[in-house]
Amino acid sequence: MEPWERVWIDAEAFGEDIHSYINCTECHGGEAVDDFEAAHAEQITPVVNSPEVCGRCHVDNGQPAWDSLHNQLTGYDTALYARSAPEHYGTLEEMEANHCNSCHATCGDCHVSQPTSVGGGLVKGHDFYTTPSMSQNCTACHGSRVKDEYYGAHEDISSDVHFRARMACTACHVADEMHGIDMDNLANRYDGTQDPSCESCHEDIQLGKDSEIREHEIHQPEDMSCQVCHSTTYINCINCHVEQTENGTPFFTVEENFLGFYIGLNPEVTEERPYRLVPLRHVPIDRESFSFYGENLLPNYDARPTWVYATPHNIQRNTPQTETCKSCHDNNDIFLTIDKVAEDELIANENVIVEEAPEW
Amino acid sequence: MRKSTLLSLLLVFALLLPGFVLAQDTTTEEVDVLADIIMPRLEEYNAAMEEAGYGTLKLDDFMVMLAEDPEVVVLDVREVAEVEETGIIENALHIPLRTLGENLGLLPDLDATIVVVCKSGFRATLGMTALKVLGYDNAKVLVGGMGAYLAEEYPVVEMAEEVEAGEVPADIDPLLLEYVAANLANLPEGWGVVTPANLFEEMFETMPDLLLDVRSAEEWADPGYIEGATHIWVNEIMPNVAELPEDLEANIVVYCASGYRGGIAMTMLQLMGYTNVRNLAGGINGWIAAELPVLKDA
Ligand code: HEC
Ligand code: HEC
Ligand code: HEC
Ligand code: HEC
Ligand code: HEC
Ligand code: HEC
Ligand code: HEC
Ligand code: HEC
Repeated sequence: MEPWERVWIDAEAFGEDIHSYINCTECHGGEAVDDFEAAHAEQITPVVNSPEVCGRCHVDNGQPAWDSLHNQLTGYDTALYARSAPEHYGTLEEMEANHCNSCHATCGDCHVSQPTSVGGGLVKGHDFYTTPSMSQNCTACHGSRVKDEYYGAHEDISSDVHFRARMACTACHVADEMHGIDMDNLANRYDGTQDPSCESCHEDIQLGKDSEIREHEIHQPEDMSCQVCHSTTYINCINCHVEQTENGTPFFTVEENFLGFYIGLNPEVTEERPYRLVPLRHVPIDRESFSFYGENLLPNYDARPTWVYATPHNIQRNTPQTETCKSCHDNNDIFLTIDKVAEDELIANENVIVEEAPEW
Repeated sequence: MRKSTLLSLLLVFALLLPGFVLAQDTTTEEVDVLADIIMPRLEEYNAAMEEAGYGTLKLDDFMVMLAEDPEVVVLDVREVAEVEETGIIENALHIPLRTLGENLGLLPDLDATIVVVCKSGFRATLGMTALKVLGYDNAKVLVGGMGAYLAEEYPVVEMAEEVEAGEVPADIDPLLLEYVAANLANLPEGWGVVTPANLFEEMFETMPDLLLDVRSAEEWADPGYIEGATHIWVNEIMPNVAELPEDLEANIVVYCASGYRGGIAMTMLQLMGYTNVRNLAGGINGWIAAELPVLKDA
């Protein structure tokens, strides 16, 4: 996007939008005067987008969306604070303020402009649109991992079957989920019901029922998630470190990415996610991830696995797993066995490591 | 003046085109079609190129577009037999290139996003250019065509949708449409493709009257150009018509880097009345890949 395009308001498009009846200053602050400095004296962007502004009219979406994982980033907090200790929470908050602000999704990040993580920019000349754009909203934040998997950007790995069937993110991730409606107090994205679940669309598929597909019929719903068979090689990251440049600009480095597919134990078997086995993804945290901000900020590093529950967005009908029964049975290579886990992470991952592949 | 000879020759050519119907009694107006309609429209189109871009769309971006925007129109301009052989993208319109001009009623409005596809991208570029000249500003061409699409095993259906024809957009000048339609209908056998090896071989016998390089000055400098070429950047063809041959039957070969801008230039030249224009398949990239010689200015 050209710099001018980012802030160019299309009078025609916005003029027809109901929100143009509201004064600019009601949402943005600032002052309606013919002088750049004075007009912009107050903070203008990111928009005042508190539930008071949008939620004044959008009572149904306002407050829930404000409390959603997207806005609160509870998932990050859950993962961080569990590994830390109360005396470090203040330091971690400082770190988050520096590094995570551009990830908090505002209403406008999905309905008006590109998120700040890609430099902002009005998507449709300030028109408010209902359906977020896959390429300009969703994947602007969910870039490297979800996007690359879904679009099939990794060499030799095909794009997701749903992408090929022309489905955008919002075909599965609908308004209520995105606004966090009925999703109160979730600790992270895999807390509670599956939203969406594969079965919500593929209604007639259930493991352990009569089926023409042997794999579907033989295995039980508690054995494994659909992705164990239908997703394929995905990206894993190691050693993310946050730092600041000399002039104080926050940045992070990820030492290594590697592609792989690892079936391990579901760390938290629940009624909604009864699977014994699921794909596991390595997350880029290590003991020193935040050492720029202080020593030993993660004293309880071992409290959570570094190989976590995953639902990769590269669903295929046929994967290496579906080739033969023996892709899994008797095949330790595909399971997260102890030899695949770094020495320093053995304790953290003791609940997810698989002893050996199921027998044939 | 050269321009007037060019235009009268254009007229002769236009009258030779089958399907080109003009009122018999308005000889002076017939000249106007070219001078007052075709040339100014090409100038307008050419001048907007810098900002509008060429309209090439990479496969990855095409797939994202399909997922995101249900309104995108996919227009397959291959021949019937080709579609029968490979299948077609779901919901695509199928209008073979030579009949495109007569079937605009099947397309939506001028501002619709229309992605033209063929087998490799060569013909679709001609179709896209014709559409843009007619005023479909958001026409695009799928780079690599169905070849690239099928190589990724993206899905196809057996048959195209049956669509009911609507009205041709009122903003299209009927004379412009008739002229462009006739031009498409008369595209030569083989579509004007010349392969690097064939061109190289031909050049031993006779050089084309004009070997036109339509890339940017930077590309001309590096990776270089084909010996004997004349350089006019595609964005600046209309301001430089004086450099084109007077003879409308002149043997012209156009090339760019990979074939797309060449296709655009070829269509423009054909619309100006040149009857013997070809475009180097794969452009100079294909030429270099075939290990044929290029020159570089010191
Ligand atoms: C003064 C009341 C008001 C405020 C404040 C307001 N909206 Fe709206 N909004 C509306 C109305 C009315 C509609 C139209 C609803 C309909 O057509 O059903 C609407 C529609 C929408 C739509 C659907 C797309 C469209 O344009 O029809 C979106 C998305 C939206 N608003 C987002 C927001 C966001 C984000 C904010 C805060 C930055 C906001 N709104 C603030 C009244 C408001
Ligand atoms: C401003 C950046 C941003 C944008 C824009 C954004 N996301 Fe997110 N999204 C995040 C972050 C950060 C999280 C992690 C929240 C957490 O785990 O606490 C997240 C979490 C999620 C989750 C899991 C949690 C949940 O609420 O279900 C889904 C699904 C998701 N995003 C999908 C989408 C889709 C679909 C879009 C486009 C409609 C989108 N996101 C747009 C940043 C963004
Ligand atoms: C992570 C992306 C995301 C965020 C953040 C988000 N929305 Fe939405 N919103 C959606 C999606 C997805 C839809 C459904 C689109 C569709 O159905 O095509 C939607 C739909 C809407 C609609 C249309 C009515 C409806 O409920 O279907 C309104 C109004 C709306 N959002 C307002 C808001 C407001 C206000 C906020 C901030 C408080 C907000 N949204 C934050 C993704 C988001
Ligand atoms: C209903 C609330 C609302 C009104 C009224 C409104 N805006 Fe906005 N504006 C937004 C939201 C939401 C964004 C998206 C940015 C964000 O979420 O931080 C935005 C983004 C912008 C941006 C782009 C910022 C960037 O860098 O990406 C500009 C510029 C802008 N608005 C100017 C105006 C002007 C000028 C007016 C009056 C004509 C106006 N806005 C009226 C809510 C509003
Ligand atoms: C075919 C349906 C489908 C489509 C399309 C889809 N997702 Fe998802 N997504 C899922 C499922 C299923 C989950 C796991 C939900 C659960 O277990 O609660 C998920 C989870 C997520 C999560 C949280 C888990 C994670 O990996 O971080 C994010 C973020 C997400 N999706 C983003 C996206 C984005 C961005 C797009 C578009 C590029 C998209 N999704 C398209 C089905 C889909
Ligand atoms: C929003 C609905 C939706 C959700 C959620 C969804 N799918 Fe699909 N799925 C579809 C549609 C639509 C198709 C394309 C159907 C077709 O082309 O036959 C499809 C196709 C497929 C195919 C290929 C079928 C074939 O015949 O080739 C597989 C495998 C599949 N989905 C698995 C999954 C899995 C696993 C999940 C959960 C991660 C999931 N789907 C979630 C709607 C959905
Ligand atoms: C143990 C492996 C395995 C598991 C687990 C599994 N599948 Fe399958 N699935 C297969 C195989 C094998 C096929 C057939 C592939 C082929 O056509 O060769 C298949 C085919 C499919 C198809 C396309 C065929 C059809 O009937 O439309 C869909 C959709 C699908 N699975 C969805 C799911 C969903 C949803 C789940 C989770 C509830 C799931 N699968 C769990 C192995 C599995
Ligand atoms: C994606 C990996 C995978 C594939 C492919 C696979 N299985 Fe399994 N299979 C499992 C897992 C995991 C279990 C559960 C055993 C466990 O939990 O230890 C299992 C269990 C079984 C069981 C015991 C019944 C049960 O539910 O515990 C049988 C029988 C079986 N598989 C047969 C087959 C046959 C036959 C095929 C080929 C048609 C096949 N499996 C393909 C992973 C797989």
